[in-house]
Amino acid sequence: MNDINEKLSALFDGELSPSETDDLLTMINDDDVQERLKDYAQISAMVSEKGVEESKTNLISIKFPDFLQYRPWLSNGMSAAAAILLTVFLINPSDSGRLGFNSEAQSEIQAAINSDEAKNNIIRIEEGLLEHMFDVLDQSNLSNKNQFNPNLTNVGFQNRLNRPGHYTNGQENFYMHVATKDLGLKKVRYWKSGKNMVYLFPLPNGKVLTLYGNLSPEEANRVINSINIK
Amino acid sequence: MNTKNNNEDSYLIEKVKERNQDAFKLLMIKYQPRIYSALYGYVKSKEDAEDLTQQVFIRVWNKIDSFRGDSAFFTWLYRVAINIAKNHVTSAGYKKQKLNISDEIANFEYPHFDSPELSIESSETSKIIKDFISSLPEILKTAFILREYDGKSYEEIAEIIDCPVGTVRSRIFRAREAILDFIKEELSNE
Repeated sequence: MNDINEKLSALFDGELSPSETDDLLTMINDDDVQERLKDYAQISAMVSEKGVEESKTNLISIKFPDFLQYRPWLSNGMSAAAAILLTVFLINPSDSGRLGFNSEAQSEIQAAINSDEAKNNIIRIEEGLLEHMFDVLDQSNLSNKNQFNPNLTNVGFQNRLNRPGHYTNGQENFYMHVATKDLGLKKVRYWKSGKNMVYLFPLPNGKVLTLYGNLSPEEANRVINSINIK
Repeated sequence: MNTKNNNEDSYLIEKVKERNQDAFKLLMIKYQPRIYSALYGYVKSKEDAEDLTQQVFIRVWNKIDSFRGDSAFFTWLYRVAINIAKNHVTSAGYKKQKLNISDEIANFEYPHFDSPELSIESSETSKIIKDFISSLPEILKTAFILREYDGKSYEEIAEIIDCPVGTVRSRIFRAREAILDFIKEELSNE
């Protein structure tokens, strides 16, 4: 039985050969097999989710985790992405001029915030960009070849050791990424969530440069202006 | 960074695309607790979370051909869940809708996770288990954590701890068994 259970453990991890997988799949309706797999799934959920507390917390009040602290497991990034759907707020309109914020979209979204369908409207309007932010937050999905890692020492930021795209000046940390797909972004957009900011800068050819971290708009502006983007 | 191999479920997914219900059942068993937990975070209702979890897997069954393997399967699954949750929480006057379920999927026996000692809503239980994991022998703990927390493949773990893949497999299994024994022997006595 232990041998079977060890195989089930490996099956759960997707580490069996196709032929071994086929053999065990024929047993999937066996109660004992199902119970064992369910146990493994529960253990996995309990230890890999940041989750238990989070799942009991009202989503609106979930703290946006600082992924710059390097949380290695997928669920954190994805939980954060889920949370941001309902925790995203536009920053004060008076700040918008500094980064060329799209005031039309801002008004539209702020109107939505005040409506009964606020969340839905926000989600619809922002869906494409939020989808992009999913990928930013879930760093496991980012391809290294898209990593943008310029030297920012001229504006006081050092690249973090062995972590391309991650920068710090000791107090402020952020992550930089370039999305290669055209998101239709025409103006700089930025959001506040918890202590962090997400800045999206349109680049030539429809690409989008993303900065995420505890950067002020001024610092983000300095950083972006220091980069020679072609 | 999570380095879990995006293709760890690829064989099962291909089977699901061929409409293999056993493979689908395995994927459901594997991911249901995490999806349920995420959905519960949205809806704050066990009943709704269960309904939505079922909707997620129905959609997965119906839309599995659209999964191209560009991301990890769980990432895609999670997005499906988020979309369903969004529709749920933002629908004014949400009422349960009769699902358009094919006979094939309607006859599915959905796995239930009703083990009280493994309730994912118990933060206290989770903490106790995590404490127990910390107390596991180093060789078991390391392999288990690299797998469950860091999402490493067995091959990657074998390289890291410099041992054969078979040993990694055995250690992860023994760690899981130890955790299960702990849960069943210790927590059930409380």
